[in-house]
Amino acid sequence: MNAKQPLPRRAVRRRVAALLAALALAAPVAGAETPEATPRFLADGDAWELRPPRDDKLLFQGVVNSDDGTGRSANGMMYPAPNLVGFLASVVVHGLIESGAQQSQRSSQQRQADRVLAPYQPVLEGLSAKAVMAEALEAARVPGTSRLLGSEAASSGAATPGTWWIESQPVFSMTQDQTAIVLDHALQVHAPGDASAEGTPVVVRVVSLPQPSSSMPAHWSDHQGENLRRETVRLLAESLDLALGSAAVAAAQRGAEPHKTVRYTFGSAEKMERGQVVAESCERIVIRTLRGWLMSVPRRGAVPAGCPAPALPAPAGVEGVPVVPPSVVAGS
Amino acid sequence: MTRPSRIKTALALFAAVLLSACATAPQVPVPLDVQNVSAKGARIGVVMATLPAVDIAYPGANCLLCLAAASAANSGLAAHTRTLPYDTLTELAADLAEALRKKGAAEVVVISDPLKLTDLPSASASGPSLARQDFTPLKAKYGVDKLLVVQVTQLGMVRTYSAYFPTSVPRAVFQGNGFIVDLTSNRYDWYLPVSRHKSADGKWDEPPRFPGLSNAYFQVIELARESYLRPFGDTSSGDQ
Repeated sequence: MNAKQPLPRRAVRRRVAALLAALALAAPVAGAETPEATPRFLADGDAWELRPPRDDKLLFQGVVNSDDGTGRSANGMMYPAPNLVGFLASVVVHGLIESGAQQSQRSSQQRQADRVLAPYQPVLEGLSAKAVMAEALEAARVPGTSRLLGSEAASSGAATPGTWWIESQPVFSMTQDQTAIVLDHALQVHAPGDASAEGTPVVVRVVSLPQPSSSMPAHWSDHQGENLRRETVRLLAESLDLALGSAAVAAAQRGAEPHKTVRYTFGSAEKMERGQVVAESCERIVIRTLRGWLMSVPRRGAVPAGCPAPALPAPAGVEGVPVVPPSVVAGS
Repeated sequence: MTRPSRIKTALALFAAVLLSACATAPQVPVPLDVQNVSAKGARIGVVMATLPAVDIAYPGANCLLCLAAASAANSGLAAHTRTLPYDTLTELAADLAEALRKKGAAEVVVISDPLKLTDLPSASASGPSLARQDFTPLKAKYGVDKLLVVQVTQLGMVRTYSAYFPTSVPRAVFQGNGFIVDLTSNRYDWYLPVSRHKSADGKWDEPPRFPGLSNAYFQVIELARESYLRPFGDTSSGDQ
């Protein structure tokens, strides 16, 4: 689903495939619990350009519960075997059927999950990808001088000499209880003079704080979807800080943290992630996952000493800012 | 009785015996009665049964050739699975002992040596809440009146098959039981089957370290720990 008009199925597939490719490239994990540090790129004085998705659209989808229907039951199979050829033919047909059934099940799960977005379609159609990314760039605390390229310049593929250029593929997912949004942001970072197509892939995930509202459709849709737009900006800004800013620097400097299973709030539910805690603030935790990605999640459980009681989400009208302040990140 | 009738009768008896052997009813859960664990003067031991090797299973790959095909197709994941640690499972006995103390148990002893359940003799009496193995000799061995046992029967990954072909992606799995046996009556004061599965978040096929499935593996351990501790009113994870 997109900001202007429904994305054609082929375009959605292309975007998701691009994200998956980036995720695959960005998983240089050397050991189950010894991921590589996220590489550092930018410094004060650098100039960099952010290239939005080439079709200038934000992709939204529903969160799929990966534990639902993860396969069909185990069962035996009696192959008809009038002769060797007949046996082999029946084995091949069985393989095709199983493969097709699993593919079909996965597509069906995603279609089912996407239904959560139905009430928000008018809001999503009114979202401007470029405007959202421009706001996020202003809010992010990434060193250097940034510039958002227009869709024409982005699709031309030409880099300004002496400038870093960063391709961005954000995918937003709404939890099925509609109380939270998750951003998976795949970026490809090209240093000046880097002509490779891949650049350096970086993937970050940011999970929003749960939004306590008695009516989530009203919360996200009222005032032309102002809350949805602001949360989108906030998540994008934090993801840029995680991927390129001071949070990433702090994370890269803390490589020897022990691995543990961290619990966090995921909408109204609880989730877990194995990894190293590389930064903490009163509301959030930054984890380096087993894939080597950075992930910013809402803290669950007791509030640390010295922190105020959990605050309500920022009301509409407050500018989106990174939720992990660099001072806290650096000092933790 | 004619000779063919005798053969038919013998076959029928053989079939009946064979089927009844497969029809052993699983132990039904027994809810925890706090009075039992907080009884005055009762000494409770907490022990882990010997942990199984962390491994991968292929239910549905029923023929030898199917099993060989499944093993070959998942050899990388199998090798990685066998390197995964028990992690916080090894601390579960101590955590349960602490939870028992909080529940009012007067004397709780953590038994550090793992209990090999297969070494126990079969029980002479049977009944709905009676253990099938005879735990009563452990009363003198450990010097306790009741024994809380954490039994893990399967830990690692599972991928379902239909003969030669997978019908699911691999998932992390934990199967086990928790129970308290009264070492005088050999009766269960508590019995809880624990079964947890978790899929990788996103892609699973990431050799050689399979971080998505490794993450799921550590999650099922945490979820299982939670299942064991919840009846005692403790849901803390120990991590965050």
